[in-house]
Amino acid sequence: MIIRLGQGILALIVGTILVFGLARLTGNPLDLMLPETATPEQRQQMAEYLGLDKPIYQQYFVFIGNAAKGDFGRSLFFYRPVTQIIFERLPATLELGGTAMLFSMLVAIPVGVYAAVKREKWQDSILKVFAIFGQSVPSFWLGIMLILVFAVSLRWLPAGGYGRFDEHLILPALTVSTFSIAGFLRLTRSAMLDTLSTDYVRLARIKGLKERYVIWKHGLRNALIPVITFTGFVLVNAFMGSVIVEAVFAWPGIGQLSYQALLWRDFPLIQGILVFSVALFVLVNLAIDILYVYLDPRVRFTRD
Amino acid sequence: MKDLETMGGPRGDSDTKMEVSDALKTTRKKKGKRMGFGWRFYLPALILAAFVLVAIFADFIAPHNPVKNHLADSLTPPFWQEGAKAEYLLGTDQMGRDILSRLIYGARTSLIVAALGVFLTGIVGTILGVLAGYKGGWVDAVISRAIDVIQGFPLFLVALVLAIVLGASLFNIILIITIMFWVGYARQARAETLQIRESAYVELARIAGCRDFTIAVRHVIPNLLNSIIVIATLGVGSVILLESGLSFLGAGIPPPTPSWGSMCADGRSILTTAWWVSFLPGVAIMAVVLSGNLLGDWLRDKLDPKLRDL
Amino acid sequence: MAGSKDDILLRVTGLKTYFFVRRGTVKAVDGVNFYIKRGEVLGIVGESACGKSVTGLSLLRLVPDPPGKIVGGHIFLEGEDLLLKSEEEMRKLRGSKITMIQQNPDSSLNPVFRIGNQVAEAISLHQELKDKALHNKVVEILGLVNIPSPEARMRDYPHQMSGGMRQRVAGAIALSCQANLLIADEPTTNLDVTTQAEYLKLLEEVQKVTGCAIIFITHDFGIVSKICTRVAVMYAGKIVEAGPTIDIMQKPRHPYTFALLDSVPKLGSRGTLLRTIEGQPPEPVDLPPSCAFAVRCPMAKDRCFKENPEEVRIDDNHYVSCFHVE
Repeated sequence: MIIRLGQGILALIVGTILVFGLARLTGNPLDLMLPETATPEQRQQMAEYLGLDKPIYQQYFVFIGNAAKGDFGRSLFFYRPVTQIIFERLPATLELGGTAMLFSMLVAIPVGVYAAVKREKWQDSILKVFAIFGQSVPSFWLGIMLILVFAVSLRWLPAGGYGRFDEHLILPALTVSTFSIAGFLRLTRSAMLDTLSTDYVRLARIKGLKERYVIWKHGLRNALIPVITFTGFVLVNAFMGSVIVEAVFAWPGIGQLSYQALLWRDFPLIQGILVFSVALFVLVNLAIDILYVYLDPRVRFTRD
Repeated sequence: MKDLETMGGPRGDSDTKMEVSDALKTTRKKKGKRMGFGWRFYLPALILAAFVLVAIFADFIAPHNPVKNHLADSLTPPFWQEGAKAEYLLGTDQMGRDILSRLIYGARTSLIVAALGVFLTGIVGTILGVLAGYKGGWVDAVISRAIDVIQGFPLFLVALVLAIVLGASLFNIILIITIMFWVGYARQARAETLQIRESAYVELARIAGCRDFTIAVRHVIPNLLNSIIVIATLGVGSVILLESGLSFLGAGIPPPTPSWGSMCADGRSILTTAWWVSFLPGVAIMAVVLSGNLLGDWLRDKLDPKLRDL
Repeated sequence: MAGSKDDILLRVTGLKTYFFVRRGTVKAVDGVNFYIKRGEVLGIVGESACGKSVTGLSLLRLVPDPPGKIVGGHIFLEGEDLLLKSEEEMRKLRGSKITMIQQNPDSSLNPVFRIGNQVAEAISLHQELKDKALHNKVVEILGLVNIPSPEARMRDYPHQMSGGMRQRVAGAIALSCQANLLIADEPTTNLDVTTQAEYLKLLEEVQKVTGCAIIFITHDFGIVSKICTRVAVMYAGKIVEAGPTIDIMQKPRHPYTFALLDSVPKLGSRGTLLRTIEGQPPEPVDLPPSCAFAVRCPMAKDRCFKENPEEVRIDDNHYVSCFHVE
């Protein structure tokens, strides 16, 4: 446990260095903010104001110091604290990502179980193809096509924009889910296939347990263990938002924010977002490790 | 229990006994090793082959210059719609550029990116993975940490950042792909190397005095090849999706080189009137990615079913 | 045939279980006949892949399908043909009439559930017990299989127990089913010798308590000699010899049986070469219609390579499938 925490922190530190470096590399915001006619003195003033005139390593330490306090500085273009901006956009992203994730799991896991049970039969084959399709579709194209069909031709749904948990959510959520449904489906199916061929599942049948219980109680319970790791991955993506999908649907979330920040070379904002994502990754992984302990007794008692 | 040795029992005469080895041949029908090339192989393989050919012979196949504007003929629909023109089989975009030609040249772009991307990533990833697995110690520690850290970053976002940082160009895209995707190969290579390292013949080689490098090349790598090939084939899809995603946002292959991703982006504004401009490139992307995935799936079933979960 | 028809619990005739795989058709069980009386212990002996485990699974109709299928024969349990039953009927029989202990103690218990839970599940399927009564029953049964401090161990997970203990839990589960027929599929193969001996003793006690019949599948004639009253020797999917253990071990009539017994290392044979049987058991794929053992048989004649020997009755209970016995 402690080791994992330590690893996480190490990753975090390395991550922040990388992030810092990357953000700096995106270019000089001064060039974007000031008109070409700006005098060197004006540039110097601006640089001082933004803290960009100090040597790089000093900037880094300032960055880290503040970051530890949760202060990522002010966005160069919004003139507001980065942290505030990120958290403002978070709900929209969560709404989209969270819904998509839940939807994916609710659909894909039972279907995956079904595919495993109907192994090698036609239902399974179709579902397998389905899953491969799902992982082969470019998300931006899917989004555009969905807009074309449902918003432009049929006019059932809006073409983009945001509304709290209403019809605006449907198309983007569908787009985001496609990939993860396919992923969950394949994973569940494969995990179930493994589980269903074990001796203990056979034991359940030997006892005379109803097949339904065999599959769901003995089979799925064990199959979920690898599925959970994948959930972590999806969860992180849910938080971070999909830059592409948010761009296609004009969804005001973190994904869109990231893109804007990049275009504007908004260092503090870019850094903030990247560090946020790394921290998220570490946290989610820790959460999953904890969940593992609960799910898999073998992990629980490794100190025995 | 009576002592079995003192007991008499059936003892045969060997006159009529056939040579054991001959007899074994008759009881065991020769198993022909069929690779089993079913439609699951041919369909994706042919599609990919077709795209490769198109990419190679683009100059001969494309009816028009992909970057030439025929403004007078802009927004012509594809052949199955009304108002189509024979010379522009799949229609034109708002600048009057022939979609078919752009798709053809786009294939060249995508496939070059995919091929080089996968190739380089595979090499870098495999080498690092084998190093980590074989040498262990601090080499392994460093590489494993790197893997962990890189995994922690949201793939697309970082790719985007890098794309903007480095600027949009073919070379940079491939570089970015290598940076993002080497992890997958490294992980697999490392895991397998760890296993192989413990095997008997590697022990023997080491005892015999083989240098590490020789062992790695002669023994470790050939065993890795199966899974690496599977990962590589499956990787084609991911690479193309990443590249087209970046191009869609304008951070990928810069114009005027046609890229399927940027073609989709071009068509966004005229979606209502000229839907085919966005639709067709996406179909192309899907066709290639799908074929890559199907082929990778088939390969995995043949070569290394253990990778099922990837 | 000795004994009246009434105390025959299970009679199997012509059982064929084939596996249809890419390489061809694997005839894992190819025309097998045997019977077992109530309270009897029958051993099924053979090398790996001779079909003995599949035979056990076939009795329960738990052969993995695909790729396996029972393609022929009859399994008469108390007079009724199991192969004619529906899946639901079969499910009801499993546990209550027939049960099985599997080979590998490491994988045969579900790792995410406590063992008390797993035993309770078996009990509640066949007896109407709840809560306190159920709890007590679990403790009682765990005690019967000699698991120390059952109340405490109930809350353990399988990985917290040793292999021997896990097999006992498997035995407890089998006990709770109160079946008439217990199929023990090499339950001691993965245990060390001392634990083996203890487990065998346990099985004997279980048998005394419940009066169930046991089909003991093993590759070890030593074990057979200890607890099996009758034994059937299997090779390449067929039973080549069957009869009372004592008879077979003293006077094996089939060359394979003889070779098997001969190859067991004996105390006092220091310095002599271990006797082995030349060759390998055949791949049970697409076997030709000859005696499967002919290839390795020191007594093989022309006929052995052309035809399959029929069962020949030697004594009351002793059957052999070999041309040399006629």
